[in-house]
Amino acid sequence: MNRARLACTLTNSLILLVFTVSVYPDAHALPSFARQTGQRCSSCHVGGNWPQLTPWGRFFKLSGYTPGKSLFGDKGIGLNYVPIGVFGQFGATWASQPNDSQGQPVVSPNGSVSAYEFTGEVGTKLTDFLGVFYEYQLGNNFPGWQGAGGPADVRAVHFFHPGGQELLVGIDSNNNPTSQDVWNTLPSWGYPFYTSPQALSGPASPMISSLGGQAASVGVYAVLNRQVYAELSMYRVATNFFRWMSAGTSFTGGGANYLDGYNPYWRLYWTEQHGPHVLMVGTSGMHSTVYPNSAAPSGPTNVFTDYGFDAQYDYLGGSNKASVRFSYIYENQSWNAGFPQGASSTLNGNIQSLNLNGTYTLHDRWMFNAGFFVNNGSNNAALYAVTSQSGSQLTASPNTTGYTLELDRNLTQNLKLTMQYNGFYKFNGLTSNIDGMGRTPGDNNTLWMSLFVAF
Amino acid sequence: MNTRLKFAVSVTSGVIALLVTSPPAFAQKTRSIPPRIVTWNCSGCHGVHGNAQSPEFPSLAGLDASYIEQRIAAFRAAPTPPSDELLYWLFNHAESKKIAASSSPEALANMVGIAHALTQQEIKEVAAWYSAQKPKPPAGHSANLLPGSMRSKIPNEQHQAKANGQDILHESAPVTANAMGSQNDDPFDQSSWFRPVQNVQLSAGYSGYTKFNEGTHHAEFGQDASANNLVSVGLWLNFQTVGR
Repeated sequence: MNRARLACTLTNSLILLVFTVSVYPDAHALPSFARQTGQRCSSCHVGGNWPQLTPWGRFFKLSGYTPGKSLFGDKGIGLNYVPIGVFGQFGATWASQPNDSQGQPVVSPNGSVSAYEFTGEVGTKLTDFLGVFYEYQLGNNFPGWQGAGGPADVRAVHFFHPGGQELLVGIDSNNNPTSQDVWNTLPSWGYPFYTSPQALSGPASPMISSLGGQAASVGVYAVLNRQVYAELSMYRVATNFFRWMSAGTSFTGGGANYLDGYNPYWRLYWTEQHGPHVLMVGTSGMHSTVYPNSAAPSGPTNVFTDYGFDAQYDYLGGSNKASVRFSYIYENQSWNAGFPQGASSTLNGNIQSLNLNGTYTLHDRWMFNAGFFVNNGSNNAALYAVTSQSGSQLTASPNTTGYTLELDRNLTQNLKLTMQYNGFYKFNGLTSNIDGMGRTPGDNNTLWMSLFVAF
Repeated sequence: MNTRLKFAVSVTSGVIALLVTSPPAFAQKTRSIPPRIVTWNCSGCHGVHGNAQSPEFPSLAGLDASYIEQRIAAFRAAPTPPSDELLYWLFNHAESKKIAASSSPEALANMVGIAHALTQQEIKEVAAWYSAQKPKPPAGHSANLLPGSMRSKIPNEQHQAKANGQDILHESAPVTANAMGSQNDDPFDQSSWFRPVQNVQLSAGYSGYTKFNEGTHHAEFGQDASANNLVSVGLWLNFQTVGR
């Protein structure tokens, strides 16, 4: 398709969309899945607090976003609802010590009200067995704004009934390992669900959580009697056919994670619901082969293997709801390309990431969250070294430990107030002098207040 | 195109072809397989066989088919809930109040939209399927058709649950005992209530015990079971905003 035709098609689609929004009486701009099902946010999200899912919300996702009204009207004319929504987030971040001892800003601007992001989403069933979810975000990078694709997920599903059992089989394509998961334990939808882009975080994270918007998958999953889930997906770099999934990612800049070939991701969990009690125990993992330089994807590669174990317990008792979540990821690293080039100080290494957190929801209005995290790993001076002003190395450890406290208040289901405090016990393996100039881990603590608007 | 990609593409297109060509009515031929709409929509909350796991949702197994159809018709008659609550609250307050008053908040949140999406054929299938299922109340639950979150609004809920179980010693809410006066089959609870308007309820009750902790006389403190008898009066206020 040439450029002129593409522009023409886009313009036509836009006109159609604007027309549909203005013609349909119930078509105020609002999150599209709620319009598809006619349900409130709290039907699928615990307390209406995105992205925590209720059992129905998990089922909705696993069944390919297909329950609810059909998108297209009778005889294929018109739309029954507008399958888009918009979000905006505004707020301010305060750091315990916004400047370092030399007066250079670490968090800037400190405490001034800013817009954080504007997001447009398309989320809808397309047919009775096919659904799609896609977000595009304009994010504030402090300074500067950047547009990028958010989560993308396309599903096709079918139910089989072998011998009186129920077997749901789906195929899925997404752009971020773990984003297809329906639990809030794995990195993509784990706690903290949102953080300030200005908040500070430790230097190490496993590869499974570092591929968002850079990889694309083709996968198959099966759910037996809504109790046992198994999935195998193959991830490749999101180029060519999958380039729309990595919008905003620059591979030629060299800093992206460029996967070599097809890389397996697996997921297995068991869940049981008894009355208001829901329990899940699971494992997940990924074997990633990554080029050291995304601008020149050839030659030797680094290999990362992640093994994840997670569990979640939900209590869904009417006006009182509570969740406890646990996740542990161990990553084995082979710096086959990075070590000879000096990008890593060791040939082999590891990362361990532990998260334990919980949420209490009162009357679908108030959410109290608390989480504890440890991001540790083997020493690697090339990646994590901090040196003192005299030039001696203070640390080569990524060990960062801390907690996140959060209070949310849903004003209406379109408006949410969030207050979040991020605290650190340890930063880069150090409990003091973390930057060689006398900064303490506590100086990196941040308080974030935000207003989230969704229509 | 390399071989691995070719393989992935052919597997994917094969599965898509299978999904497209498998007849949607496939599941409805045999009686042991639920209708499509039950599997894809209703079962998410009410269970495939109508025995809801979560106390938030009512079990439908064994209910009369015409009753299920009536309930769905009532949901369909209710105004669609405003997903854009804020706009309604700001600009169409009268309408939002009308919607809030038209059904229970839980039903509005979950069922009105779903009911609107059903066809007449699907409603018949749903009703026929669930009415043919056997009710299987989960342990510890009374066969109560009210959703759990509605039940929890009944001040007597806690009293009932504990009276059915063992934890009478820690019973916490005898003051409003049996304020609704409708669900409890305990012959020793007698109370009455009065609702001058739908938001306010006055109640008075008397709870009597002939046995307490499996005894008519409490050995440790030398108290008779009847010493726990209570006269209760209650004032119940309920003001809800839209959809809550």
